[in-house]
Amino acid sequence: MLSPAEAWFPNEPLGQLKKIKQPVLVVNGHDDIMVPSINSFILQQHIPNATLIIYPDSGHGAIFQYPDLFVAHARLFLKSSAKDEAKRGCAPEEARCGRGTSDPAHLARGALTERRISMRTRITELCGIKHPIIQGGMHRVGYAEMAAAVSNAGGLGIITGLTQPTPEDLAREIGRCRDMTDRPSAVNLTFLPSFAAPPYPECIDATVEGGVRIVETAGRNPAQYIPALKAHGVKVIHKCTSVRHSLTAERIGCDAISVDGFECGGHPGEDDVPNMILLPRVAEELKIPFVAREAWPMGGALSPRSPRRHRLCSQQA
Amino acid sequence: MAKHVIAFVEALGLTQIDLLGFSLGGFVAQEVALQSPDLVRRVILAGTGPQGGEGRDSFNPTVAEHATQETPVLENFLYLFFAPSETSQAAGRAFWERRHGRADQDVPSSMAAMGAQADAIAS
Repeated sequence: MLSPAEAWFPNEPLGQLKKIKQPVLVVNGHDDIMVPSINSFILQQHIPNATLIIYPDSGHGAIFQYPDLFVAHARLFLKSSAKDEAKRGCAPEEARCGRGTSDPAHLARGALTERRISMRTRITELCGIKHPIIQGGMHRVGYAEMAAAVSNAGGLGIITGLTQPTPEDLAREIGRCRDMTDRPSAVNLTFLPSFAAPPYPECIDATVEGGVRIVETAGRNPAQYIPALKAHGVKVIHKCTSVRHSLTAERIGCDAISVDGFECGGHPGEDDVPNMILLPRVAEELKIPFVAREAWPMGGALSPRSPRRHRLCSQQA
Repeated sequence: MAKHVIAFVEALGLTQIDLLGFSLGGFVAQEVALQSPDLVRRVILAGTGPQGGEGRDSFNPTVAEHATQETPVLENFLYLFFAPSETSQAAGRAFWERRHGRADQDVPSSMAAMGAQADAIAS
């Protein structure tokens, strides 16, 4: 018995496809291992009136993974008339031209717009947040009210660990935050040289037991605490002021870096390198995602046509 | 298989249809569009390819093994239909739950049906 692949991929010409005169919508996932995604492109190239959509981070079952988006795309494709297509080119284009609220194309456009304003980056994926905005860990400011407000707004709120006098207080603060938001929030733990070190292991216990799954570390190299955090599935975002520190953090297993240029609040490091220089350099070196610290009043400042802009997001400090 | 689809649609008394073909169904949908151009208004081809497409070499043994289980389990499904990333796998599990939560479940297909499908593709 031939396997489906052997049977379906004989060395035959693709000439039949040009005889398909109907409008065709071709969709697939980014990396289909059953019917390799390149075949969707081949279909689109050979069928005279075909539109191609490839969904990100998905395989053969892309339409199962993105049911709402696929249905919006399919509706749009099925509702547009042949006349519209002749006039406007293709179905997806019509989505942007849809006029009335009763127009199905307009409704589908709503679904597309929702995706546009919900900017997806590796940071939003990592943290499970809607917007790639992370609150800074601020002493005497980062209480539950602040963190919950940021998280409720779609960013990542952060409770400042060392603002709480004891691990028990930190546990209570985390509980208060959880009462105010059901969205992800984080805890900042700053490791500084000290004669009387704060009880970091107990702070980590309080964080983990409180259900927090993201920790922002700052100050010294957090290597000794990484195993305890990782053992509980906690994602670690470490704050760095230089390329070399960022690379160290990546090597020791941090999930993301918060990059802190000379002009930033808090401790700006000792290298005096501002974000304008530091951020592009970090983008060149790091494999893991990073957030750009400082207040960024204009989103455009973060994406000067940088090919790496999808890795950037802002942190308000 | 295309002939069966055309006969079925005509038996339903439909004179024009929009056709969605997924995977093997996409092979069939192309054939239906070619054989009965007047019956088909629009076609959506999902997770599929053309006759004479690419990828024969990359159809690796692991895929074949996962794809030929008599009773496919979640693990087979996640491997075959979703990307390895955490988000894609989670979407796969969510779909699996939705699929099995439906009141009206399809009868599982048999090994005989799998063989018949392969033969149909080959013919």
